[in-house]
Amino acid sequence: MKSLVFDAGPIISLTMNNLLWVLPELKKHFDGEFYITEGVKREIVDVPLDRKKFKFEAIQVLQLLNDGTLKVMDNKTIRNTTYKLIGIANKIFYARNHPIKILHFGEVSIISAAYNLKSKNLVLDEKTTRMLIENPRKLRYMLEKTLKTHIHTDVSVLEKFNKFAKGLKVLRSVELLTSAYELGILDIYKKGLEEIPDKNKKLVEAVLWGVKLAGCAVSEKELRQIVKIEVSK
Amino acid sequence: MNEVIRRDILTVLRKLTKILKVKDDTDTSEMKYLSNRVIHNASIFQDEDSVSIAILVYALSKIIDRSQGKYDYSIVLNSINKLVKNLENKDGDKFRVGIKLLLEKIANVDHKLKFYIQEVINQAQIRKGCKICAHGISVERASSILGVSQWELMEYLGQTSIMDKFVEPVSVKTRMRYARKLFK
Repeated sequence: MKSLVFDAGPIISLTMNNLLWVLPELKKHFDGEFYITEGVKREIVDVPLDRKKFKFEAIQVLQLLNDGTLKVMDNKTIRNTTYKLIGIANKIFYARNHPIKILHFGEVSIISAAYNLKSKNLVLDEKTTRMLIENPRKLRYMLEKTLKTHIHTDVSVLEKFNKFAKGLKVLRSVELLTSAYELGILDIYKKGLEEIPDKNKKLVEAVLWGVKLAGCAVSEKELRQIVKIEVSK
Repeated sequence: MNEVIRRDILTVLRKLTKILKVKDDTDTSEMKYLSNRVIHNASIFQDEDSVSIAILVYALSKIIDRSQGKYDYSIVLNSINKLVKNLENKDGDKFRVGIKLLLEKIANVDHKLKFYIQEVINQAQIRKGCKICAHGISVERASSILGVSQWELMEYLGQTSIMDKFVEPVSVKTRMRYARKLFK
């Protein structure tokens, strides 16, 4: 069975836009399971439930856990892999002879979960983790540019990381919402746009800008590209 | 305390005392620049000391901004001089107690400003977390270093242009092609 492992970011950006309801609808088109890990659940449910801010958002996510749209993937093997992998990921890049801890538990746990599930699919809005999976050289360049110092890569450690991350495909909340648009899941919003010119364009722009402004790492240029593709269909 | 961090914080605090000795229109912008400088270390070493100094300097700059020239620098100058002495003597414990006391001093200076100052400190944590993300550290890691939630950090990150600065390793066309294979 197929599976899709979610990081906290996409759930947060969908919740902030009242678009969590899209997930059960998308799942109908997926033929598989949607997973989060215990580390991700802690970030998006357990922690905000104990605070004033974002408590209601956490309750909304909890509904998806209760109705089975999202399942929590947690076992000793995943936890052990996560601890091992976090030690690896945070010793890949060095600045001033010091390893830079670039990732945290939740982000690494989704890679371990995918590895243990033999899944290739991640949903991840966060840029650093995505770049480490897809193009570590670019991440090194980014670190060097922004920290204004030489960054050394420990190639042997990077190779160890790649054993876990090899072949992973990453989607963001923008791609989930674009798929939802293409599948007609967002058509309910079109009813209110009857009188408005370019209603399709307006709808795509609205949802994509919504998740970008809620923290999904997507550039304005990419958003324009997606809108252009969708509107020209 | 790591020697590199100690020396860097000392440089920053000495510059801060220099700024605070004479009132000037450029004081707060210079302080914000200093705070960003400390954040470089906070991104690499992720130590409590660099993080607290970055927050302290940023929060102080915002409070001075808000006071429209009326803030009495002498309230904090003496404490900052003490922090410099603690670092010169390599006394990390006294230095950390000193930062805590200084933050309390800033917060208690005016009861009318109390809630504003708490908000400024919270905003400083979020802004500095955002800076750390801009340096290539992940969102969850940055939120953990600064002690803010990922929800707050993402909400703020979305309002910045950080995501537009670096080209994505995979094109949107490729990602969409893959998404279409998954959702049918």
